[in-house]
Amino acid sequence: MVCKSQGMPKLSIPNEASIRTIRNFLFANSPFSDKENPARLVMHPKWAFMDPVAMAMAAAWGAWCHRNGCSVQGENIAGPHTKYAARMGLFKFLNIAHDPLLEEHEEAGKFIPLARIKTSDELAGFIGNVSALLHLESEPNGLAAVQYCISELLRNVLEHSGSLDGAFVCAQRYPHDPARRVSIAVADCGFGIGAHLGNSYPEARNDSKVALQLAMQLGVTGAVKSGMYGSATDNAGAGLFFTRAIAKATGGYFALVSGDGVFRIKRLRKNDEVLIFHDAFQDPRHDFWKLPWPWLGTVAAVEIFTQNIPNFPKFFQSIRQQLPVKKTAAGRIKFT
Amino acid sequence: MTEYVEVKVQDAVKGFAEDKDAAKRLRTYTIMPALSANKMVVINFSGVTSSTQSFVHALVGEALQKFGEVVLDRLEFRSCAPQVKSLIELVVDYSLGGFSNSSSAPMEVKTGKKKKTSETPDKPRPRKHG
Repeated sequence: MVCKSQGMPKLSIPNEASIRTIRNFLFANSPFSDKENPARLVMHPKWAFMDPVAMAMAAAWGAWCHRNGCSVQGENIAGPHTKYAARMGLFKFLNIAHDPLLEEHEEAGKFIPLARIKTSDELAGFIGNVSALLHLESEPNGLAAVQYCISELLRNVLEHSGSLDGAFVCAQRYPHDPARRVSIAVADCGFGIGAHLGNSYPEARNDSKVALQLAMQLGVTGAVKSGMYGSATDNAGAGLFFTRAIAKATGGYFALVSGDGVFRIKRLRKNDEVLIFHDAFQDPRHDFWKLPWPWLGTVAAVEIFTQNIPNFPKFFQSIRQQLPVKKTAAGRIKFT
Repeated sequence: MTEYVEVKVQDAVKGFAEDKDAAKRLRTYTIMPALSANKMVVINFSGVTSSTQSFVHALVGEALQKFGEVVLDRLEFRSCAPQVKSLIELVVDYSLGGFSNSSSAPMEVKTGKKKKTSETPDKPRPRKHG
């Protein structure tokens, strides 16, 4: 088999691959440029904690490999430590044979397995299943926050990424956490943020830090004034801002990876104020790293502590009252 | 008496309104033609529990940008859930004036009383997942 990419890729999953450990996970890898053939998914031999960010990235990477003529081979995938990845559907997406007995499990109440979303209808169907699969019926505000983030992240991929493989998404609920954590990740191997914003902001094209910084600000969109998809009348450039704000408001992690840039906002500490910065890089809880290799697309990961957003409307009201708009005409709106 | 057109959002989306394509269809085929013909437009959000800023923007952003603040005299938003109401106010504000670049102060956001979260690392317990 001949891979059309420049080198044969490899993705290693360490004993923990999560938003918390995303730096180590990414720096230990070079998934788009390794020289080995075929592409390899190498799991830790004994222990593999993968949260949705690693799961979605692995699935998107696998689709990229397949699209570039590479098959994916699994290593260290036998054993109970890979049950979770199997149940999430990772091996199916990678076309790696795996013991089907390990994959039979009731999904309700714990996680949303990996899904590939390529159309608006698929997105709507996915959103419709969120409540049942994560058992969030009794938490309408938490559910609204989770649906909001999933919708905005997936629509970004469908409308702006140019991803030929669509978006890969999954979610995990941790109901035993006192604040009821939900972790969500969406990954694609499309243009990447720099290339997309580069239409309107040339300075973002070759600088991942600038690209990520702009992407998370209000009012920044790469959508051109007219176009089949993503015209300025359809986009305000606020989706990632609000997604970041929701994660921050509930105290969870937020991560955004594109090109060689990795941005993360850490969880709130006890007694931290919930402050949303217009420029995400001014947030004192942020990290930024430059990878020695680029992620060929975009990855977004969000943690929402659903118990920490007991009033989702109030969150928006609070944001609206403080948004730096040039004028307000809200008093003139007729609500009946 | 001014003629009016009622747009029932729940005919296109129910519950959580996020489908921008549906919003765009409502805008393109109903809202904008009615406003261009000087009609009143009632946008009825009955049955919508929550939405996204992107959906509301796709629904009314163009009307606000094209006709300006005066279009609010011919727009009525009916049966809006509180979160939808906040989103409409938000979209109206930035569509008419844009975002200001002058403010760099962070926003202190209220979400109600919170439970504790912690920086305690997640312990890798893969068996707890499934």
